[in-house]
Amino acid sequence: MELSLIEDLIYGAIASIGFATISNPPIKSLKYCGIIAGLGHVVRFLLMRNVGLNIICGDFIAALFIGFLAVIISGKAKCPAESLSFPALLPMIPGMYAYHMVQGLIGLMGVDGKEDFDHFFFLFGYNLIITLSVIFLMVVGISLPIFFLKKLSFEATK
Amino acid sequence: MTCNLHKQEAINRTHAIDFFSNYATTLLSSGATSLRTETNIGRMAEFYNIKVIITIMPKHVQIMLTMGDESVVRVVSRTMGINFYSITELSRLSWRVVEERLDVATANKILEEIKSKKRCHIAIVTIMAGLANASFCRLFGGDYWAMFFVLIATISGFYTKHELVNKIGIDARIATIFAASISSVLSCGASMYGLGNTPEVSLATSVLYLVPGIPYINAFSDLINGHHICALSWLISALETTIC
Repeated sequence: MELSLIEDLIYGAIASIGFATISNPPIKSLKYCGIIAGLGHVVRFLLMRNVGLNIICGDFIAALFIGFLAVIISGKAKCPAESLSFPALLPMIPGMYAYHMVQGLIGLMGVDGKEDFDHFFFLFGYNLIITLSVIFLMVVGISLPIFFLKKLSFEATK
Repeated sequence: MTCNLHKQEAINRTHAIDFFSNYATTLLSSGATSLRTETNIGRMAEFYNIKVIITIMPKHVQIMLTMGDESVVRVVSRTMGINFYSITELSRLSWRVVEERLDVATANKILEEIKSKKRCHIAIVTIMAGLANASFCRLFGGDYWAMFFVLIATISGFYTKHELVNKIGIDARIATIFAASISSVLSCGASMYGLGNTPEVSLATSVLYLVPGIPYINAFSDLINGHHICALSWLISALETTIC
């Protein structure tokens, strides 16, 4: 069942609002989280599906977009930029890769022979590299706008 | 209630160290980054004409406050519970101190009010977490049956974890193992009853609500800002939960 652009936007927004609720955000910030996450997810969708970028580059550029949008909107929402950008980033956390990484690690504990070891070590190593690279670049992506627009981002709650 | 805060003697040293240690621990316990904590505290300290140095450790915060020639040090322990409401309101408080010229006692009173604010009701949070994870399932290519089973699995697992941690007092990592088991078993319903075409997506995404996203983000944020010990602390804690 192929995912459409509109679905990506809607489900990205719902995922962000839902996961943000766990972290007890200010109620009025939720709509901004949803908008930023939805748009960020669409940027990632277009970059990965239409431009053909891999998940690392796609997530980095989408995070940069989310970061700038969050800093710009934070003044209007009267929230710190990270209260908007962090929840908006949650749907892009490579949870599936983190899950497969742990699966590989657990598989390694019960290997029987070189072939099994190679398989599980590949599963662990590949997913570990993807998980850490994606999260690192996503954080760089949302942090850069905060550094570039320091005055704007730290005066949002003024 | 305002006072002339530029006069050094107007600030009681004990009240000041009480306030700054309370503020720093609340902000850090809420999941604020080290940069945010330093910026907010620096803003208020400058206004009160106090020099404040904070050392952030994984479970403790050390505050050194210098007024004139005298210094006072306090070490306070901190807990962990991500709370964006507190981060927002505490950031706002740091600006209010400067703009409304609030004295330390008033600022501390507002801080206590922010701390006493109740979190969103667990029923709402559980349903929202379920919807979020079901959306996540769709984003990973799951069909509507897979989404349905992920919704049920997440609601059950999330609520179980909450009850185990908050009502029974079980360690959060053990509660995570229980929650993950419950969610995995329930998400197998799609493949057990042969419903939908993507039961494997349902199984893989049913536990993703347990992956601690904010600690991962904070870990790398602190790493970029040079708070390496805090970064490691966040990362290890996040990896622990993921492994559970």
